Amino acid sequence: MKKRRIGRIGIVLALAVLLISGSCTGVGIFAVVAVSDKIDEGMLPEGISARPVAHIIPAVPDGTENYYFFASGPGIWAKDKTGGLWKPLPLNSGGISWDGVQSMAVTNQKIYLALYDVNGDDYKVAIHTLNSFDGTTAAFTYFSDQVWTSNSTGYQTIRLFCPDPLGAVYVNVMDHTGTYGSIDSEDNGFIGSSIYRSDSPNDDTTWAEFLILSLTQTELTGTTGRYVTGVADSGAVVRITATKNMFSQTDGILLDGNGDPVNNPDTILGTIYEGPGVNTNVSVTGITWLPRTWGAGGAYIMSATSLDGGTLPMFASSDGVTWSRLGGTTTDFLTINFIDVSEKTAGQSDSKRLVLAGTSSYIDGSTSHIASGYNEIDVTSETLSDWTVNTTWDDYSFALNTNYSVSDLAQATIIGMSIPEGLNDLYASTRNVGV
Amino acid sequence: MLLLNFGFLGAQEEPPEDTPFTPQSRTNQRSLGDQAFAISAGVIIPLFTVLLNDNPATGDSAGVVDSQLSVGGMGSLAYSLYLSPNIKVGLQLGGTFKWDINRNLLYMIPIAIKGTYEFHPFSRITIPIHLALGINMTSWKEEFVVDPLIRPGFGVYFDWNVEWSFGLDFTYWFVPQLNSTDERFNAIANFMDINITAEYHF
Repeated sequence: MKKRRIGRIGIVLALAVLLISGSCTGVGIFAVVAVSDKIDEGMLPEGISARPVAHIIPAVPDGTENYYFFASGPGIWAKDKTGGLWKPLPLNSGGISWDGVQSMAVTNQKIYLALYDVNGDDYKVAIHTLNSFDGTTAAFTYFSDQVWTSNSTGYQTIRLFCPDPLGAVYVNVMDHTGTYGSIDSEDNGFIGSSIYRSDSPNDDTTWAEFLILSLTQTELTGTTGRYVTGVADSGAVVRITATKNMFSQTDGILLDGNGDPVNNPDTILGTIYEGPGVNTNVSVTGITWLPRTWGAGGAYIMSATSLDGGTLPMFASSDGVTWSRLGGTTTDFLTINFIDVSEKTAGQSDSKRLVLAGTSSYIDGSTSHIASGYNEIDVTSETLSDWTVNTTWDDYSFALNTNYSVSDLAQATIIGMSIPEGLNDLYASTRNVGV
Repeated sequence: MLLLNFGFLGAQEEPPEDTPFTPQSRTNQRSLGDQAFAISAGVIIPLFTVLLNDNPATGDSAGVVDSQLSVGGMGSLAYSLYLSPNIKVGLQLGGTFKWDINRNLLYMIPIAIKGTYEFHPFSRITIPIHLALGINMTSWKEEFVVDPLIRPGFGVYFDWNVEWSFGLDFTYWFVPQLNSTDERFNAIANFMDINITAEYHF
């Protein structure tokens, strides 16, 4: 009797095994692991937050072109192109040993840096350029005619942008009340900002050569303040995206290259115009220009900071005035930057033309949302509204699932992506898992 | 007093009950209805992975490849019921961990029905051969899949006393993973585990 009962239980369990295992599908874990590559996480000390990898070629090549660079909070790191480890560079400029890098932008010949120094209650920040590096020592130019120094009532922080390595450098000088606290201070007591531009950044050696913009745009110089989140340059038209403060999810504004609010057919200044009567002030976290030189025509693409109408929209525009809303995601992460790989071999896989969108983790009230590496945007179609955003790793075309999903990149916040000039390697700089 | 003694002796000479009492001649003698509970700990050794399809995307051909997993740890619990002096069946729940080449952890949780045939060459030595059939739940990064599991094996046990046995088990794992969303990644994983086991009989 007991044997018969056990036999029945066995049959039921065997059926359960078949049903459970048959109904559960997913990625073939053992095959993926078996054919995956060893991913080098960048050989950085754990926890180093990296900005995009840069490569410059001085007007007179002097060996600097043999190195890659990236900035982290405490400094600049360099690595020989042929291999080896990332090494930190001393930040000695103008006879001062600076404490760290607040912001960085890269032209084709120089690296613009906002270096800061903290000594007791005294804080200061100034613009520098890294012009050359011989493997040991870096040569800087110190824009000493303008040093923003803290006082008892406030201080300034600097954000640099260079959307086109052959074009202008933009400087967002932000004003804060109170006492400087840390490198996170750029969002503390933010009361307003000014924006400046240099049209010949490879030649400039003083701050006096920068032009102040936004003279008619009171929100950039007035008490409400604006925080510049991105600059994109088509070569003819510049678009600057700004918000009320660093983490603002509302009240975004769209500016032109002079810092003035973009006008549109509805004459509602600074809004994202999607057609007659459809305007939005969704704030934007990143914007870039896609040349699409293969024939589809250039276009801007930018991503929203927060959900709007149930999705995290992206917008595309060929003229910077009228924008098409892309599907976006109902997502757990922010899209914060883009890189155009549509003209690279890997960016044309599966008959697509791809742009990669780096994502970031964020905290929404008490809820933490992890990042998701990058997403793929198919920008093949000449009709911008047809572009699609792919967030499913298993269906990615740029990198094989087998290599991408095994790396920490798949869950990392991507601070920036870059393809150094003349190379086919894409570097992804992350918040905490290296380069 | 004498009558009382006769009465006591008389009671001893009463006929036996219906159920015959069989004296246990060996330490490891078991019988129908005996139960056992075992706890094990040891290592799991990835052997190889068999790719079932060519994969032009990765440049890999169907066939045997290195699993690219590290040696890991394992533990399990098992409950068994004897159907005869040599055969027992039971349920085994285990857990393993190991790392891939990028130091990502891979967990496996097998749940299996286990049939065992025990040889008893000596009074205190038991050699079980066993076959387990069940499911294997695998978790790696954000992925989770459930696959069928076949685990044949054998062991060598020393029966310390009637209740306690201690021994080594060697078990082969055969995990067909045939339900991938992309069939290019269908494969059969092969492992071996070596476990030290303490088994309590009651």
